[in-house]
Amino acid sequence: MATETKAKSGLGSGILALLAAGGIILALYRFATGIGSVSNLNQGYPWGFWIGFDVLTGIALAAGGFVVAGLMHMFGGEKYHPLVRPTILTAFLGYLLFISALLVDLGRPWTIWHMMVMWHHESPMFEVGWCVMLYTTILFLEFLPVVFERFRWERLQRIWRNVSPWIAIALLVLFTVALVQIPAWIIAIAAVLVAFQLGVDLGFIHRNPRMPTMLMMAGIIFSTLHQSSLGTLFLIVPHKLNAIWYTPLLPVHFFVSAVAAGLAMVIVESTLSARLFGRRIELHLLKDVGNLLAWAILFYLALRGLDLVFRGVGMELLDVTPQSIAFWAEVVIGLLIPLAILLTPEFATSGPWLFWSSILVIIGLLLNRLNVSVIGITSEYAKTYYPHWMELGISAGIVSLGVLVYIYICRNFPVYVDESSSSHR
Amino acid sequence: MAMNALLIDLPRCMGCRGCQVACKHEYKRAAEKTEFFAGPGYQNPRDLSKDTWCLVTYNEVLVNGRFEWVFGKRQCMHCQVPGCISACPVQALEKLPTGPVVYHKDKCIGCRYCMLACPFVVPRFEFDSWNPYITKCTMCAHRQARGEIPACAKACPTGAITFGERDAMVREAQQRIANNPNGYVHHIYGLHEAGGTCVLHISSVPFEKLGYITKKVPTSPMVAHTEPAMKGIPFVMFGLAAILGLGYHLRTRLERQPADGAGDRQ
Amino acid sequence: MTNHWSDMAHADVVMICGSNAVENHPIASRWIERAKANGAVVLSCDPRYTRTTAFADHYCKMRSGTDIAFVGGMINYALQNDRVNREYVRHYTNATFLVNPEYDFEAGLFAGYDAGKRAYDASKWAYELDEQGVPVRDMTMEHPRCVFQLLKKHFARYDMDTVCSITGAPREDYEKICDVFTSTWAPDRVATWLYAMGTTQHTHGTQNIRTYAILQLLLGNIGMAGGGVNALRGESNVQGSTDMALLFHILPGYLKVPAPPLQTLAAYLEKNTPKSNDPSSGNWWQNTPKYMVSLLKAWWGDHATKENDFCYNYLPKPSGDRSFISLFEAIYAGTIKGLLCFGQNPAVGGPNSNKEREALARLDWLVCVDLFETDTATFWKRPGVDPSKIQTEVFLLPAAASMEKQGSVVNSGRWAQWRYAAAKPPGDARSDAWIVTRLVQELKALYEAGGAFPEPIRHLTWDYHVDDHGEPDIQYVAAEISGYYMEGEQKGRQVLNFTKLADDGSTCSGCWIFCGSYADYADGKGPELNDGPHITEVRGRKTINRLAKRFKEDPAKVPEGRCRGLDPDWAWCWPLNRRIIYNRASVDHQGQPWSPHRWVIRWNPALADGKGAWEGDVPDGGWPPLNNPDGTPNPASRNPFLMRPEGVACLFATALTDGPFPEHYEPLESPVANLLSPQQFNPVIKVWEPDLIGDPREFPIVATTYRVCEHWQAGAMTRNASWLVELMPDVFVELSADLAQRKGIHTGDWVRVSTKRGTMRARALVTRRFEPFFVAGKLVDQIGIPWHWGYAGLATGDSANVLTPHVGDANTMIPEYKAFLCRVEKEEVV
Ligand SMILES: Nc1nc2c(c(=O)[nH]1)N[C@H]1C(S)=C(S)[C@@H](COP(=O)(O)OP(=O)(O)OC[C@H]3O[C@@H](n4cnc5c(=O)[nH]c(N)nc54)[C@H](O)[C@@H]3O)O[C@H]1N2
Ligand SMILES: Nc1nc2c(c(=O)[nH]1)N[C@H]1C(S)=C(S)[C@@H](COP(=O)(O)OP(=O)(O)OC[C@H]3O[C@@H](n4cnc5c(=O)[nH]c(N)nc54)[C@H](O)[C@@H]3O)O[C@H]1N2
Ligand code: SF4
Ligand code: SF4
Ligand code: SF4
Ligand code: SF4
Ligand code: SF4
Ligand SMILES: [Mo]
Repeated sequence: MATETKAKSGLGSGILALLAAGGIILALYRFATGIGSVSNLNQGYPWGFWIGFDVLTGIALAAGGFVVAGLMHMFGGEKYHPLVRPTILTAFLGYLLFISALLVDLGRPWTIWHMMVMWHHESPMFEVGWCVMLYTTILFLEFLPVVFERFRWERLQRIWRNVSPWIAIALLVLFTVALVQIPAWIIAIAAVLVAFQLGVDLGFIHRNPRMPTMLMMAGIIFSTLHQSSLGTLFLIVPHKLNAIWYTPLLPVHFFVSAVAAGLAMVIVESTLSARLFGRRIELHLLKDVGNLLAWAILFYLALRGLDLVFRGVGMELLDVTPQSIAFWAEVVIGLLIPLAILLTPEFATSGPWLFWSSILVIIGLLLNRLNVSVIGITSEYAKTYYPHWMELGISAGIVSLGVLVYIYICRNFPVYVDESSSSHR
Repeated sequence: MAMNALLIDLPRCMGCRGCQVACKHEYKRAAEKTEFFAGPGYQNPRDLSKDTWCLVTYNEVLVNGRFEWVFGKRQCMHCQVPGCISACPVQALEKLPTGPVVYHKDKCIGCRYCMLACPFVVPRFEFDSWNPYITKCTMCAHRQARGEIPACAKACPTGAITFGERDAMVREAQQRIANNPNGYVHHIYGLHEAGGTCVLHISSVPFEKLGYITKKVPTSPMVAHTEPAMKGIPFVMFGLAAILGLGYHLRTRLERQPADGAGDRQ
Repeated sequence: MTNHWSDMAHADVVMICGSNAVENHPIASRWIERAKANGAVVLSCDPRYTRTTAFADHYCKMRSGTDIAFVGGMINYALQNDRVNREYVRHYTNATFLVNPEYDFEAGLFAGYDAGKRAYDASKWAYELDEQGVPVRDMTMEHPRCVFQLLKKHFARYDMDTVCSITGAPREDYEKICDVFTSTWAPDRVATWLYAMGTTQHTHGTQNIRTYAILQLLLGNIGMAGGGVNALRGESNVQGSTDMALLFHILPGYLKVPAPPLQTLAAYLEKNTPKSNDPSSGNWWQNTPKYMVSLLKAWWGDHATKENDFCYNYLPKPSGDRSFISLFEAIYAGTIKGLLCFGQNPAVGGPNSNKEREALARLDWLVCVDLFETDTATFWKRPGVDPSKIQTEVFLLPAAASMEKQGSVVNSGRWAQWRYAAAKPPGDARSDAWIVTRLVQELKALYEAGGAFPEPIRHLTWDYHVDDHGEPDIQYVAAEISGYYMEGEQKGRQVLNFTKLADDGSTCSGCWIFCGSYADYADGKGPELNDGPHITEVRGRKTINRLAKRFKEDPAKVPEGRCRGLDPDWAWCWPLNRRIIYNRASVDHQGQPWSPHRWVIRWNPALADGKGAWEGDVPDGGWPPLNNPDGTPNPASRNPFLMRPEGVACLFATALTDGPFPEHYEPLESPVANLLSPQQFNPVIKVWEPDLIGDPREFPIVATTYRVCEHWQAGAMTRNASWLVELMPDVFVELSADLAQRKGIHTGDWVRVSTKRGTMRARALVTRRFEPFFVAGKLVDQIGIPWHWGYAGLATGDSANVLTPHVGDANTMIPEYKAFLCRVEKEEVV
């Protein structure tokens, strides 16, 4: 059976490699000739599939990283530990991919560093940019131990353990300076963080043996901000975004749905990787994750529902417009069906059912992000927008590339620290 | 320095498009390849574009039973609190104290968020270039700096475009409406739209009949819609830091109660 | 123009009929806008809703070719409702003159018609004269044969119903127009009439204008600020070209071209110098000899002597019509072998252009002098012809554009304004003056060697201070046009003005109406003595180029109530820098203005230490007012219309070939029979190609051609400008939704428009701006086509002129571009 899966995966990665190559070629073409030649983006729809899928969805799916981190951290879910490294890895890769996608979508990618020096704290885009930058750094720091273990660099690991928290603090404070720019706040936030870290270093606060707590806290803080800031982006288009989605609470919606998607990702991923590397699924864990997922969906549903009611959007949902259809698709596929599954006891404990309901949740999230960024947008004077095949091609390429790298790393690095056989391939 | 504005008096406009050509001439923007007509009447091209920053529109409308041919003018409105500026992450767009909203091409990263944010759908992007920029009407800031009036205003034969201090222009507009109450709809487009703009329009027919964006443009500046969320950032950071920190400490405490109190330093 | 551009601001009513002023004269709209701001009402009468209409307060549509009926009805309305400025009409027009009993009007024809010659004997329309040979007048205007009564009788036939059913004008719209316009009969209300090609390009174009003039005279609107009959001239310097006689039937300053019988100067002057025995008539043209001789002196200088009739015999004496159409007929017939085409593009602009393009192929040689390679210059390689089959040798000389050379331009308001070169001409391009000078030098050289009748060329004066690049000093030309003394102690000095020109050969003037435009510095006064580019040196003397003056009038110095915009020191205006001509008609017998709050001139007894003098504009004749302060007539005075032998304006005019009163005839091609008389079309026009006249059953739709703001004329200048091409790339035809629906045509479709002459393709623009007309009880459709396109340049398309007929106005021969019959079909996509 092992050989068979190997063959399968061989074929799979072959296809992935093809897609990746194609994507790279298209991307090169785009850089030579301009965005217009590979996409249907136009003056009325300056944002399209790349933003909706690569950026918005990609980031949301990468949320698994901080969710699990959060779980362990808050509810001492030590048991979740086996999931931590894979999710951190996916998050890290997710962000790297997202950044490369962003480079394709940006008109002048070579100037992206301007974000670091030309500050404009009023701009949601500025917040997004900074979150990406800093959170990716944090993820990198969080991922380092895997590398150290792989090459048995104990000294480096020790340095990392002592230094990384302070780096995290520095980044958090820098972020506050750039985006808040109010001395009182800066001092307050810095104070809390430093106090905590000193507490740890001086032994008043328990030191987490595996990963500096500060690192995890930073991760959680940044991605919380980041997930919601993607919603903030669209607060500036009350005139373009359909009332079904436009709400002052958009940042909150984005955050909550990201948490749900993150959980779903955890399930999907560990299932897949288990099959890939022929390991047994930590079903006992996934059950609990599924359980949490159900709660997240419930909460999210309630939030959306109440929001629609209070803003008096009701009728729109009933008459048949592309938007209302898109909305129902998003809700039914992404929320109601998976919820139904997860609330039926016999399904809630079965691996496959967990897996497929999570897939649905992820599709739902994809739909939601596309709705907010493309389908829900109506722009005066403009012609409509639908993605060009090359747009899809580039995205597909980037994702495939990501998966390939993921597989490679899992094969060659101690990502899955398996209690039973603690051997790294 | 006083805040200037353009006053567009549509009943005085006779659709000659001197302004449209003068604008292209001033900025040496390329002519677009057009065929026949792109819009109602003689309109060409169809929409504002990277090379067309000023567009005269032709509208054949029925005004209480009577047929009228009425013209409109589209360009950057030079908002007083511009959405495009609030959107830009690198301050590539700037509001000059004299009114113009200008673009610093060397700062721009090409994220096109300004295009999304503009309530009047104005900024344009050079999608067809490997080295693209945003383009739009500059209110002829460079001419203003030389003490000259914008090229379109200069070219206008009828005096449909007046240029001057915004306050004066607002008063002028109110005057014209008062002097000819039946000749104008009693609304100054741009007085309150998007928090007020430095391009003001007055018209003999309701603006929506001329294809102007009316209901969809909020009267508040665009930044008013993102500000609350942005203000939330420090609360989230401080809150999370505190809660996570405290939460972690307490939890680990409880967990390690039964075991011996010694901290485990490795 | 009787008035000028900025004067439009003074009008109470602005009538725009026969012109699309805001589109084709955009700057006019600035002044009309000023008038509006002062509460003026703007009227637009046009077969279609134009951008001018969009600018106007009231609109009335009318079928192309029916202006005489339309305005005739307005005249009738004024007369029936006694909306007439009687004092004005009685004293300043020939309303009171008696016409001899032979005059008669019957079945659409005036007395004296010769069907064989297709011409009138105008003597049948003469005034009744007393024993001194002075016209008899009935100041009560009651006599059945006085002009006023004849006018009433003639236009009584133009009642509302008849007019509306001829023109297709909706009655209530038409009534509104009549009411608003004739409301200016009150002495203190003024209306201006703006017209252009919509009026003139008809077989009865001149009579169209006559109707405007008659109406304006009845209402007392001539000579007034904000009034007048104003031709918005076309090409930016077409007024100048007319003044300088770029026409076949006049010499510079509107002197008549000698006819073959007039072999001596004496004979010419005898024939062309009008006489008047009326002591109250200024009869200015009695000075014709002075102007003619001064012109001949300007041309042949010292060679022109009393003994040799001042070289009068050098002048060509063409027999008959040499107008545009007949020239091309002659080229077509092969009688003309060569063509110099300076700044003209007849392959697009000429009527029945298929024929005219054919004609070009029959030339031995063609020289085009132009900014661009025009459709005319490329006729031999136009689509559908085989260049190898065309023998014509074609030369193209690149010309410098107006902004690339110094010179003057005369605008419609008769202002001659100097312009300076703003840029260097590209490549080998040269000024027209340079090109003509080279031509003259070459010809002189050739004729020195001999040839038939060489003197006119050999003796031609060409002392324009040509520099070593061959460029003449255009200031010298301007100075000669104005004129200077050729002998006596004044020799070489600029002549003060045309009252000083002489018929003894002591003065020269290239165009008498411009005499005084270029002054000797010693004769200067006021601001013009200040330094500036207008101070020049010509023939070694310090001179003032008044065309180059740019001093605005100080508003503070404008006397109470006087109209604005006279600006005597801004450029120069013929005649005598008079800004509003006939201004003597703007005052009553005491010399006091009809309209005190916008007076043009007025008699101020206090001035000239008690002797009294005129103030304001330069008066049209400096004589004192008609009456003394005590009300008795002043024998020293003269009547206000000094260019007429009568001394008054003519409601009844004997000078035109097609009748003393305007009478409505249908265009040569018309879908309906003339409702007013059995005479279907103008009885005296020459029909060049009878077999090319369309039958209404085959071609039921009325067509007209016109301009758009975005393009210029035959298109070379705009179809080569990408920014303008962007605005209007393709030729299109405008038609009503109604017609389109019947033909299954939609906006953007390709359609074929055909006439008896030819067929063109164009894109259809279906619009409410065109509507069918209800004429003589049936629906008549009309379409319109901008005529700017051709096969050369950036943007190409079929020319509307492949459709237009070879027929012209009875007096001016201007082609009938505005009303003809066509057929429209949707082009089936194959
Ligand atoms: N932009 C632009 N401006 C121009 C020119 C140009 O080519 N382009 N050409 C210049 C020249 S040379 C000239 S001569 C002038 C001409 O100036 P216009 O005379 O204004 O030019 P057109 O558009 O030929 O005709 C004017 C109007 O006459 C209307 N019309 C048609 N038939 C009739 C009729 O029977 N009676 C009446 N009352 N109206 C009728 C037409 O619908 C049209 O709107 O424009 C000058 N200005
Ligand atoms: N169907 C239809 N036909 C019409 C009319 C109409 O209303 N309907 N209108 C008629 C009227 S009013 C007119 S005026 C004629 C106009 O007919 P045209 O005079 O033939 O038309 P334009 O295009 O004005 O030609 C002027 C040419 O002079 C060139 N040019 C410009 N400046 C200079 C210069 O300084 N020197 C030289 N050498 N060349 C120069 C330009 O490039 C242009 O090619 O068309 C007539 N044709
Ligand atoms: S109109 Fe749009 S582009 Fe212009 S200033 Fe306002 S927001 Fe910016
Ligand atoms: S595209 Fe350029 S100008 Fe517009 S928001 Fe992005 S960086 Fe700013
Ligand atoms: S203000 Fe300047 S840039 Fe803006 S439309 Fe007018 S001419 Fe063009
Ligand atoms: S130039 Fe003036 S009149 Fe002409 S289209 Fe522009 S605004 Fe209207
Ligand atoms: S002559 Fe020139 S400025 Fe004057 S109206 Fe025509 S186009 Fe405008
Ligand atoms: Mo003309």
